Amino acid sequence: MSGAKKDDSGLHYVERVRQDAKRYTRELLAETENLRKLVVLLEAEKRRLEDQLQAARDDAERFGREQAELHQRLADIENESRRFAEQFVEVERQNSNLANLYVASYQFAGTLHRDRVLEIILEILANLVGSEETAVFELDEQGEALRLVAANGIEPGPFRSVARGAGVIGSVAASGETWIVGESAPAEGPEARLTACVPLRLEDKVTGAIAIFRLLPQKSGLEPVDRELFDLLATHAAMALYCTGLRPARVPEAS
Amino acid sequence: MRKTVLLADDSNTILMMQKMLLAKEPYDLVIARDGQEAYDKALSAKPDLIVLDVVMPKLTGFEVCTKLRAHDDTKSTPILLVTTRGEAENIQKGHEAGCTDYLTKPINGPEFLSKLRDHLSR
Repeated sequence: MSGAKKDDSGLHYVERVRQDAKRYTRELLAETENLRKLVVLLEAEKRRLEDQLQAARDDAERFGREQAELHQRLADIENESRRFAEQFVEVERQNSNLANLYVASYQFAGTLHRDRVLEIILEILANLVGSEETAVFELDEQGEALRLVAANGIEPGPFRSVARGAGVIGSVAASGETWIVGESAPAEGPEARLTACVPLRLEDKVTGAIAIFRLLPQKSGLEPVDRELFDLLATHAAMALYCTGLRPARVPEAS
Repeated sequence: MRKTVLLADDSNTILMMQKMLLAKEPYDLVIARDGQEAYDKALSAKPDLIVLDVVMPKLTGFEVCTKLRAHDDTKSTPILLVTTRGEAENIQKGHEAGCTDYLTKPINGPEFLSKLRDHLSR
């Protein structure tokens, strides 16, 4: 009897173990299934995040390209703006140069009085060229010597009469060519401070000369517009001086 | 509102040059040919800016500047002195007289316009 009981309890034990094993197996299978589903979910989430990351990378790349394009456009606009500003300054410079030439030309056309013409020449040299050491010469009737007819800021002694062909001033009267310091043989003696010498010309005939000695300290040198002004002075000043000789004596002085 | 600029110089060449440079600018111009006229017109026209030559008959630019600075109506009007000599001593004298800025002859067109615009826009 006791042997039969033992067998019974052994069988129960085995059955219980088997049931437990079956339960564990079911639980494990269920857990595995849960984990598998979780893995599937995580993989789906990973793909979604990867897609989002890629989209963000694409956006970043696009924004980077757009930013570079905007930088380039900004640089282009800045360059264009700088170019316009430079053109504006250049136009103003040319306008100023033209104003210089117009003013000089207009001044000569406004008078038939010899003293006023000489005054205008010296004023133009002081105010537009920038020299307060200047002299105006006219050739005498024989055409052999230059006579000093007006001066500003120089000692007139050595220049009262200059032989045609002598020194820089006499040579300019002989050749009819403008002399500019640094471009020809240097001036010497009393002419050593000469900056430029311009012939006064009526058609092909030289009638005198204008000497420009030292420039004002703030003026570092002659500029292209000064050379244009010299060309204008060469003819307009000569013509204005010539016209004063044609003026009838009865023309009254302007008040 | 258009601004008024007083130009004072005894040289026709300079006045004509300045008028030409300012021809396209939106300013009304008042002209004076000596220092006394400059002073009188500064008080009567009450310009927004004054350009004064230093060497003028009757009153020099320095004297006009000093007198204008002593007057309530013009004590803060910008004054540009135009000097032939650009040495420090001369510029110092201009500042002592109360000038706002200075220009040297021969007048450089772009610099002249730039200084005028600058002082008139303040």
